[in-house]
Order: sequence, then C-alpha cells, then structure tokens
Amino acid sequence: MIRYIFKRLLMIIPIVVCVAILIFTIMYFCPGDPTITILGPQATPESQALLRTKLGLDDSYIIQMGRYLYNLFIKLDLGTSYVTGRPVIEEIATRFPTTLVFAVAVMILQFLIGTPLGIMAATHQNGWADRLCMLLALVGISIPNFWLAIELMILFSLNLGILPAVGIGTWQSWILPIFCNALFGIAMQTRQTRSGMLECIRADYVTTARAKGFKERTVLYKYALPNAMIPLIQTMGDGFGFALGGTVVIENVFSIPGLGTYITQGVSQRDYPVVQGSVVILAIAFSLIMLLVDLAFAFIDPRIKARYESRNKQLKWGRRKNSHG
Amino acid sequence: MKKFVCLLALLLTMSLVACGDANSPNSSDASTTIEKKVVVGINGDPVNLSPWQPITEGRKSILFNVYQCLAPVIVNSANGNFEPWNTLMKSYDHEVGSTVYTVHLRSGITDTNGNDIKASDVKFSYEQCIESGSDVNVAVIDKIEAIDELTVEFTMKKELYIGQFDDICLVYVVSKASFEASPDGMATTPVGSTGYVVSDYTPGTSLTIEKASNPYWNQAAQDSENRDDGYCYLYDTKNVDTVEFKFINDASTMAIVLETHAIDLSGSVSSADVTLFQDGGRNADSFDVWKFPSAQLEVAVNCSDSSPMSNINLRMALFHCWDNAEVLQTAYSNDGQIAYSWDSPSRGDYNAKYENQDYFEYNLDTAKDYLAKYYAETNTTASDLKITILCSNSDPAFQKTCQIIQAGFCEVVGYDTAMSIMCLDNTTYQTTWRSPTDFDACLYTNNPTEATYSSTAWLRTMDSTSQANGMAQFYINDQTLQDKLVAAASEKTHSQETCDAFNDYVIQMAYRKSVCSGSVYMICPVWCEQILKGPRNSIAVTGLNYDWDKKAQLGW
Repeated sequence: MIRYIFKRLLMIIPIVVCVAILIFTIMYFCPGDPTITILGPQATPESQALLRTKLGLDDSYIIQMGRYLYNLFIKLDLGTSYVTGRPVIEEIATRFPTTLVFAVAVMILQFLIGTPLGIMAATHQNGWADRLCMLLALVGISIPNFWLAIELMILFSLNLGILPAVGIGTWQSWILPIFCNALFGIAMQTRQTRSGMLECIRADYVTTARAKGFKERTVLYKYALPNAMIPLIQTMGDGFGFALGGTVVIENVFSIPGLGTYITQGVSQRDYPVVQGSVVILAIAFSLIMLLVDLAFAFIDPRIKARYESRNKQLKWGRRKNSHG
Repeated sequence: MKKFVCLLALLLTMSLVACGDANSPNSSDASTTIEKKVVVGINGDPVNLSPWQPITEGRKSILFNVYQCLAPVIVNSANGNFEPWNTLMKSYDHEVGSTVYTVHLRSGITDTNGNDIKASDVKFSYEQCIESGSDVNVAVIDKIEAIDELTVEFTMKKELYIGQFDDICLVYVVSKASFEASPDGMATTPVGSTGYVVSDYTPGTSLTIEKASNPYWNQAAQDSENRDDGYCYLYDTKNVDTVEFKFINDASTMAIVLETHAIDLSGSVSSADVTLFQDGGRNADSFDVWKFPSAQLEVAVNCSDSSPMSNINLRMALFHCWDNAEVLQTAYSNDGQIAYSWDSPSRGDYNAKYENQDYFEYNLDTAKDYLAKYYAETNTTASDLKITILCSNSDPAFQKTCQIIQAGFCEVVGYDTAMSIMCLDNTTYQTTWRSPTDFDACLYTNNPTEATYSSTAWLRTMDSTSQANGMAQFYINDQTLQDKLVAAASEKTHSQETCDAFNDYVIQMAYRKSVCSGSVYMICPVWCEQILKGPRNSIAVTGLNYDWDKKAQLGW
C-alpha cells in the first residue's frame, strides 16, 4: 500500500507538467496584450514594447515556456503578478484556504444531506418519499447556481434579513454560498446513492442478512451501504474538485475572496503568471484529492485492498523467483 | 432514516433562527455615541496599495483618500467643470513656450507618520513613478530638481500642450523616509499625507480607513474652506471618522447590499437596478440617486490602406446612416445626452455652438450619394463591400449601438452582410484596435473626466508624434490634422478659434463621429446631503456632508 501511495504521488509530477505546458500554451495563444492592462489604454507603442521586453514577452514560445517551466519546477517560483507586482504564491496562499474551506464544507454537506436522502429514496422505491427525493434531485441539478444565489440572497438577506449578503466575515455569511454550491452535488449524491443502494438491496447477501433476523438499520448500514459507497466516494471526489475550481460564479456573486475570483481577474487582465500559477495549484490539489479517493476505495472495499496487497506479493515473489532463477 | 432526515431539517431550521438579524442596524446594542462611519460598496479590490501602480477599479476609488498629489483634477461644483485644485502645490511658474515648470510647495506638509514632505520627496516620488512605467503622462519629464526645500523644477523633454501639466500633477507624493521604511513598497502599508490611514485591509473583502492620530497637516485650510489656502473637499476630515470600503464584484449584489443597508453608498449600481432607489422605487425613502454623464461613445474609423475606410466618401456614408437620438433611445433607454461634436460639455473650452451645427445628420439618401461616389472612385460595387465594426462587451449598450449602425449601413448598401460586428472582451478589444488589418470601424469611449481641456483629450488619440509609426490613432496620416491639433493644443495658440478649426476639420474629413453618453448613478443615503465626485468617477466619501443625528434617528 505504501508503495502504491508513493507511486501515485510520483505520477502527480508528469500530470502537473502536462497541465503546466497546456495552460502556458493556451495563455500564449490567447488574444490580448497584458501590457495594455498594465500601462492603460493610452500607452504608447514605445512603452508597450519596452515593457514586453522587460517581461520577456518578446521571446519565442519555446524560450518562454522553458523559462516558465524552469522557474516553476526548479526554482518553485510561480512568478509575479503583472498587475499587482506581488508574488503569485503569496496571493494564492491568502486565497486558497478560503476556497479549500469552501470546498470541504460543500463536500461534507453533499455527503450529510445527499446520502440519507438517497437511502430514503432507495428504501421507499416508488413511494412518495422516493418521488419527492428524485424531484428535489432533479430541481437541484437543473437550477443554475448563479440564479439560485441571487434568489436566496434576496430571500434571506433582503426580505428576511437573517443572513448577510456578501463577504465571509461571520460564520453566517458562509451559509448561502456553501448551500448554493452544494446543491448540485447534493442532487447528484442523492441520485447516485439511490442507484447504488437499489442494486445492493436486491443482492443475495442482503436477503441473507434479513433472513438471519438482523434489524433493517443493520442490514442497510452494515451490509448494503458499504457496497454502495464506492461510486459515492467518486461522486464526492468529483464534487470536491468542482467546488475547488468551479466556484467562480458563486465567489463573484457573494464577493468571496477565493481562488475563483482570482483566476477570473487574471484571465480578464491577461495576467499570465496568475492564471498559470493558479491552474497548476489546482491541478496538484485535484490530483491529491483523486489519490485520497482511491485510497478511500481501498479502505472501504477489502477486495481492492487485497488486490493491491496480492499484486505487491506477486512482485516480491516475482523478483525472488527471478533472483533465484 | 426518516427520523434522521427530520432531525437534520430541525437542525438547519434552528441554525437559521440562531443566525438572528444579521443585517438590521438595530441588532447592535444602542449607543449614545454616534459612530461617524460610512460603508461604501466598490467594484474591485485595490490589491496593491502602492502609490505608483496601474490604475484599477479598486485603486481609483480608495487611494486618493490616503495619498495626495500636487493638484487633483476634480469637479468645481459651481460651474461643473473639471479643474486642478492646488493641494500640495501652492502655485507654479511657467513661461509659455518654455519646457520648465517651477512648482512651489506649501509649507508644513507632513504624512501620517509625522515625516515632512519636501521638494526632495516630490522628486523621489516622481522618479519612482517614472521608473515604474505605470503612468504615461510622466514619460515627457526629462529632469526633476529640488531647488530648495519647497521648490521643485520640472524640465520637460518638449513643450507641453495646454492642460498636459495638469495630468503630470496627478502623481501621488509620499515621503522618501516613509517609503523606504515600508517593507513592501507600501503595497499593504500605505503612508500618505491625507488625514486618513488604512487601519484594516482584508484582501478580497474590505478595506477600512480611519482618521489618523496625527492631525492633518493643513487643518487650517480645511476649517476655513479657503481654496487658495489649500482647501480641497477631497481631503476634508471633519465629516467622517471611519470609512469602510467593501469589495462587491456583482452589480446585482451591490443593489441588494444597499437595500439591506450593509453598505451606505455606491457608485456601481447598474441602470437596471437604480430604479429601486429612484422616486417610486421601494427604497426611495431611504436613498437619493445622483446622476452623472458617463464616458462619451464615439465611432472611430481605420484610415489605414488595409481598410476601405481610408476613403472619405465611405466614411461620410457611414456617419450619415444612423441617428444618434435612436441610439440614445434604444441603447440607453433615453437616459443620457446626445453628442453634437467630439467634445464634452464638462470641459472648460467646450463651445455650445456645436449643438446647433450640422453634425452628420441622419439621412440615408445623403449616405447613398456618398456611397455612389465611393463606388465610382474605387471601381467597386455593393457586393464587394464588407466592413467590420469593433466594440467591447464591457457594456451591453455598446453592442446595441453597433447593431443600430449595422442596420443603417446595411440598408444603405443594400446587403445584409455589408457590416459585421466584432464584440470582444475589453483586453482583446484594446489589442485588436491596434492592428490595422482586423477592423474597419471601432466604437470608442472618451472619458469626460480624463481631461480639463478638450484639446488634451484630442491629443491622446490624434497626436501623430506620440505613435510609433508617426500616424495618429486609427492610422490617420494627415499633416493638416496634426497642424490644426497642435494649434488647438499649444499653450501659445490655444483659443476657441483654433479648437473650432480642429473640430471642423475632423467633421470635414469624417475622422470620428461622437454618438452619445449614458449615465452613471451614484446612490447615497438620505442622511447624506449630496454626492461629490472624486477623481475618475469615484465618490469623494470623506468630503460629503453627513447628518449623523438623522442617521441615528432612522436606525441605520
């Protein structure tokens, strides 16, 4: 297992390299000149040319990319923002925790609400509870989160006055943005849980468990749910990744100083180091999340764990056999 | 399972109830002391508070409350014109035709750390600004010398045009000692010479300024309100103790937070939401709405050889094929002003006679006549004609304006494909109009607050000596235009006649047609007397008069 984890961690490196090259290439060919953002629309061509030389934007694609990759992987430097003049890593460091907390809260909410709703729907298949849960799930998937954000803001901030509309100064101000972002994930989790549980409920081992006289709660949570968890964990992992990088709209509506607004500002201002640095950080974070998801699979499903261990044993035996033979 | 779901629902409900009244001003304990605090909603985070960084939305709204310049250019409410208000600078000497400007500073200038600001600090500040490259206006400075403690001599590389020195006076001045003591070039620890200091800054959320513990260096002028002594409403310290700027990115959210009283003022409410605060709106009792003209919209043409617009007859045909009044009606819901010349009424040398001149009157027959001349000269036909008009997508009104122009032009030409619209994000738009092969006409905005004189605004786009290839913006290579521009802009020859001559020539050659200007709304609470504008369409928050007793009575 340790070997597997180490191998997966090493695999993150080529993934990040590919992401870095890809985002650099996209930004390189993206139309728009960052010198105009920096100097303003009245900038003379001379001052633009001087600045382009100073920033190294005059160099060829290969040279610029080589310099970028060298700074990123050898010097571990994400560069300096063209607009603010501050190191990108510092700015990400102030914003990433907000987005991370946001994403974790979304994931927890997704699990705490979506899973029980899905179980209820599965255990009351074709009943009113099932239909209600599926209707809520459909609504959750269909509603655009930016529309929901504005409507909830009007309801709870303006009309009822019980929640703040913007910022993250108090714990109350987290409620609306987290809920808006989590709704889609809750809906997906509900549907996925229902689907997985329906499959497991009909399995022979569940029938056997019922025949043995176990309580229904025990049958569901000890026998059925663990077997339905694998796709659910995948859904949660995807939801976390989405919350990490896809909160741009919610952050803008609620004026949350997270990574989403930072990236959109960087894109609109053609602040290349900001966009490139942020995307690389998100790629690393997402890769780590996927690793944790895979490890969770092994933890929950003993078959997967056994498969890893037997593979390791085979490799060990294989080497011994080879060394003897 | 049902019990769990019910328990969860109960927990959520209790949490919401426990949140309490998060927004009501009555939720805090009553206090006999009235807190002189104002909360302003702005559309952007300054990010970097250093004095010489590029202008961004957040920086333009906040920094003038912390730093001062020699003479900010702001509106004179008596006549509505933009003028320089001598602040750090008491006066300056300059002979017409000379490249030397001798600035005399006021005595006793200190920053909020108690450091003096003298001529050497002005020299330091300007040199830092020049080195940063963020301000094109200072590129014309050749040399700066501190003659004595209160005298600075600027030598320019060439003779300045009228009003150009006003732009140079906008550079923020700080004391060298304070700047060098700052660990990050004042990026997060700004020290200026106004009466306010930044007391709290949460990136992405809010920034708070408070009255400095050291008294403002020119409190006497603020008390006497004598402009000659250095009074400027921008820097008034008696009205408010604390200002909190909240960064709100979304225009709809801005309206909501105003309604919930989470903020008190804003200059960034969209025209769709402003009706909520005007007479008849549900918030009319709590707020007042102040209207100001927005940037003037203009149609510029690509006069390079790669575009058919290099032909004057085609330009004339284009400019006669739409009605400015229709644009104002359709794109701005009749909320604005029609333009009658390439000028703005807010400038000191605007000529009211322009409003009665024949300014490319909407006439499709006239347009067709010019088009016929174009076909005859170029030996082309209607089917050969395909032009592109470029605009930015930063304002929905721009695309609507282009659609009206497109409809008129296609009707004149007789082909639906005669004109296509290229609507781009702002950064790509500003790159694209610098390429002569990518567009033929361009919708351009001319900010009325950026110049004290009309000729200054003309220079920024029409001065061929400031372009790398010796041509004016949009590739106009016309020595007569340059001569008339220099005559209008030169200190020696600037007059109503020379300005009129330039204006008339631009119309004669159809180099540009102004369309209209919309409106910018600034909203303040009823306990604020009126809105005064600061630099670059910001709100002069500390300069407004507030009725704190009324605020307390209303329960804000």
